[in-house]
Parts: sequence; structure tokens; C-alpha cells
Amino acid sequence: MFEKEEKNLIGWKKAYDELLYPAEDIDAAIQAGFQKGRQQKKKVMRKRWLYSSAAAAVFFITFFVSIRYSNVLANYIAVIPGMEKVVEKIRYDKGLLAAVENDYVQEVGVSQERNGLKVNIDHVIADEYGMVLFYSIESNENQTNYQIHDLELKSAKGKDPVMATSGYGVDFPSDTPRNKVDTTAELFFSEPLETTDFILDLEVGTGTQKEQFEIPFSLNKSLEQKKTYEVNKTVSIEQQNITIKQVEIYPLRVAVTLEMDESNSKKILSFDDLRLVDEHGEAWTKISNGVTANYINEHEQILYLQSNYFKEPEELYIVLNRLQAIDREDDTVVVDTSTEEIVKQPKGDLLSDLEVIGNDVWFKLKTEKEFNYSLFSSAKDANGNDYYHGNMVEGTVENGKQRMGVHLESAKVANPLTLELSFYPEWVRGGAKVKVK
Amino acid sequence: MELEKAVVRKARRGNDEAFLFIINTIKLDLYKTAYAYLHNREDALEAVQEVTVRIYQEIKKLRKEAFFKTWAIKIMINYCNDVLRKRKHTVLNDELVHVSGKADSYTLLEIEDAMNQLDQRSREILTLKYFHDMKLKDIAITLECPEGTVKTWLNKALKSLRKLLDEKGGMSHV
Repeated sequence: MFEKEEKNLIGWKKAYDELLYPAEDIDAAIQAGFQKGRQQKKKVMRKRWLYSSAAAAVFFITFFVSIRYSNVLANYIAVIPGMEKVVEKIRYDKGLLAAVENDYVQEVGVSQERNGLKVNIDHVIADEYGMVLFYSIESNENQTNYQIHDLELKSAKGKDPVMATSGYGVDFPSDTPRNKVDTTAELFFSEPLETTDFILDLEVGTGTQKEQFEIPFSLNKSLEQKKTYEVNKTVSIEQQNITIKQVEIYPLRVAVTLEMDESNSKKILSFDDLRLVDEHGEAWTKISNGVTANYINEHEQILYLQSNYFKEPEELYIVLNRLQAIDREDDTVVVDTSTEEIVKQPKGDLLSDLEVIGNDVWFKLKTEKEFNYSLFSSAKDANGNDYYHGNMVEGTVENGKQRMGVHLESAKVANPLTLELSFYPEWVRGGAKVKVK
Repeated sequence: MELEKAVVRKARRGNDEAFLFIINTIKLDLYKTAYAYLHNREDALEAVQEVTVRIYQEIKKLRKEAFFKTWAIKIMINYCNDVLRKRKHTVLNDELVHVSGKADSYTLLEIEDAMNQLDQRSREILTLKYFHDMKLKDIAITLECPEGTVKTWLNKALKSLRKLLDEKGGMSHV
């Protein structure tokens, strides 16, 4: 019946069979697709963090933490619409949960639509120095990929907030197309806010569309003031001296200012186990997802803990046990991206298998347990240009080795490339307790 | 076939070597499909890369291991349809101009053009049946519909193709 059409189709197929195919390019495309697939396999929340000053961030949260909500909180969730989503996003931070429990959340409820894409600002928890925005993005069509770029907070009148750190983003592209995603942005300022009227600027992208938003919103509840305690006490752990200078308690977080003795033999990278403890032994630990520290200079830093603002303890202590620290001469990793070689790394050779894929430089890190920290704070090439802007990539743990890497702003670097370590799995241990109040 | 099924099963369970093995057995089929739809090398290569990512992520969901190839080509066709939907204008395949020139009674470019104008379903059926020499039974299993339905679609597709070709050849092929 369709002999002629069939003949034509067979002829058409034959013509394709006779074409020459770029075999090597096809192999490369298959390899690239395979690598990309592998990297995306483990879908964890990845937010883009911007640093206006040197800061460190934890990029990973445990998804299956179970938190028992207090009765107050459970009631609150039940009666206030939308509060369940808020609590869901902050369930890993007892300070923020306490803010919700104490009715310190502000409802905003403003939205803006651009060509079928809509941004809703639902709730805000704010203090003088920071803001957690709870917002959502809606699309007319189901999308697998939502991106947020250039999120900025401006003042509706007067001086704009001075940004210290900001973190925002959406979950990794997921298999299931969705027409709505809920997410958060965490903004911290280096000077106290001077206004309650703001404009949120952001760009939202999907696979096929990009839209700019400028959404005005206002805060209607007054912002609580911080409580400051001067401490100025020095402790020593494995001959490394640390001075706890000051503790500031804000509704969103607690800032502990620490100073390291210049004569310490080691560079202290991270205070893994530093807590606030009250007279009943209740503890407030470090921020588990977000900015964990700001570096004032080489010897001084501010560490952030979950807030106990809404508790009024009789006594308050800082307890510290374990520090990530490396010998001073070991504080960098030097690599050659053209030959994919590690030229220099700390004693013990925990890093291996350097691999450059596009703009990403991947390592394997020997580790027994997953090491959920960003390894590097900068990546300077031979000309002193820093190509690392805090965008890290992270893979899976296999056979005692974790794949992780940095995304460089450009792959054209003058080798060698020097990466400064910000975290590393080596520790000094000891115990110290200091009275704050 | 049995060996292949075993390898596909391994790949489904997350074995990367098995995945690379099976994806390499169908890489030309993927590329050719992309090329037949998109008509240029860069887009076809990008399609191969993106579809490899999808296959890697979706392979857990493949139910009939024996039909890995058809299933993968179907993913490629979906991808290409998405790309074409976003494309503003058609791209002519200039490489094909240099090959033999004619497929029976019509030029290759005329056939290509007609394929471009077909509805997605018809183009998919003709691609699977004639481009990849697949049996109607296998197509039915992959598309999860009765063989009779596939036959109906095929007839409709051929009829549409005839109509489109007749419009083109109306003058020169009487």
C-alpha cells in the first residue's frame, strides 16, 4: 500500500548510514554525559554563597534529622497557615525554631509575576543584622530546573543594607517537574538595618526563561536588639592558645569572636565542637547549614552558633573540644591543571586523583566519614588571580574516598594554581570551658 | 541478548562499568537519531551528552531490560522534540546534500523536509520503524501500547508522509 513511501524511507536511512560520523566527538559526548550524570546522582541542597568578606560555610545538611517539636511549636504550626513550610526549612536550627515558637516570624505575603513566573515572599525572620527570607517560585508550566541569580536586598528609601554574606538557591534540578518550589535566602549585614522597607531584587531562571524581579516588602514587627557579653579569656588546647573575646546574642544567631595566638604552631581552620551551654546543660551548637564563620583577619574570626536569644539562662558557658588544625607550612594545596597533578599538599597525602572537567577541578579526599566542609577558600594562579568564588562542587563517597572539587570562574589559569585550605580533616583535641555569664 | 540483558541489569543497579558498556553499544544509534532530527553536528553531540545524563539518571526506571535500545532512542526523540520546539527556524542538513542525492523517487532533502513537517507521533514511529529497523512488536512494548495501535499510527504516518511528499513532488514527479 505504501511501497513507494517505504522505499523512500529506506533510501533516506541508507543515506544516513553512509555519512561519516565524528566517532571521537561522540565518545567525548558520552563520557561527558556519564560524568555529569554521576555528579548529579547525589542530589543534595546546594546553595550559592556569596562572600563580601572572607567567610566559611557548611554546604551540607543531614536531611533525615528528626527533631521533636515542642508542644508550643506543634500548636503554632497547626494554627498558622504556611508555618509548616517555614519550620520544615529551619528544622535543623533550634535558634530559628525558637524564633518561630516565640512568634518572632513576620508574615509578608507579597508577590510579583513576570511572563508566567511568579515570586512570592511569604515570611521573614529578621534582626538588626540579618534576615531569613522564606519565598517560593511558581511557574505556569512544570519545570525541573529553577535557578536564582543576583539576589540582592535594597532599601526602599535611604541607605541600602550593607551585605556581609548572602546565601540563596534552589534544590538541584530534580527528576520530577514541579510548578512550585519553596526556598530560603539568608542575608547578613555588616551594619545594623536602618529601615523596615525593602526591595528584593532577583533573577529567576528556568531551563527556557529568565525574568527579573524587584519586589517591595515591609517589616511590620520591631526588631529585637542584640545582647553583648565581653569575655576576654584565653584557653589552651594542645599548646594552641585561643582567646574568647566577646559573645553577641542575636535572635538569628550567636556570634563568638575568637583570637588565635600568633605564636601557635598550627593554623586553626575550624572549631568543630564549640558550644554554648547553660546551667542545665542545654547546648546551642554551630550553624549546621549556612555561614559558620567570618574571618576578621588571619588571627581573628567570628564563629556563628544557633541562637539562644529567646531563652534567659541564669548561667552561660562556652565549651570547646575539637579543632580542625594543620601545621602552618601545610596550609595550601598546589596543583597543575594542565597535567592534572597535585604538586604540593599537607603531610599524609589525603588528596589524590586530580581531574579537571570543564571549569571544575575535582579531587578525591581520603576520609572515613563524609567530610562536609568546603576544602578551599581561594584558588590563585601564578599571576595571583583568584579564580574561586565560593562555588564548590561535591560528589559521592566511594571506597573510603570522597570526590569533591572547586568550580573555577575560568579554566584558563596560569599554572601552578595555589588553593588555600579553609577546612581539612585533621584535628587537635582537648577540653575547655569558659564562663560567659 | 541474554548477556546484554544481564549487563543492562547491572547498569540498572548502579554499576558504572556496565552502564558505559551498554551506552557504548548504542552510541551511534543515539547520534544518528539526534542528527536526523536536529540536522547539525554540534546540536547532535550536545544531544548525545544530555541524553546520556538522562539515561544514567533514569535507568533505574527501565522496566524491560531487553528493550534498552528502543527505550534509550525514545528518550533521545523526546529530547530532540524539546529542542525543535524551542528552535525558531528549521535547519537544513547540508551534509546530506552531498550524499547520493536521491532516495528512490524523491531527493533526500525533500524527505527530510517532509519528516520535519510530520506530527511528533508520526515522525517517531517512522524513525523507530525505518531508521532503526525495529519490529512493530518491539515498538509496541517500548511505547507500552497494543501492537494494533502502533500499526494504526504507522499507517497514519505513512499516509501523512505521502501527502506531504505529493505536495512537494506535485510538479516534478508527475
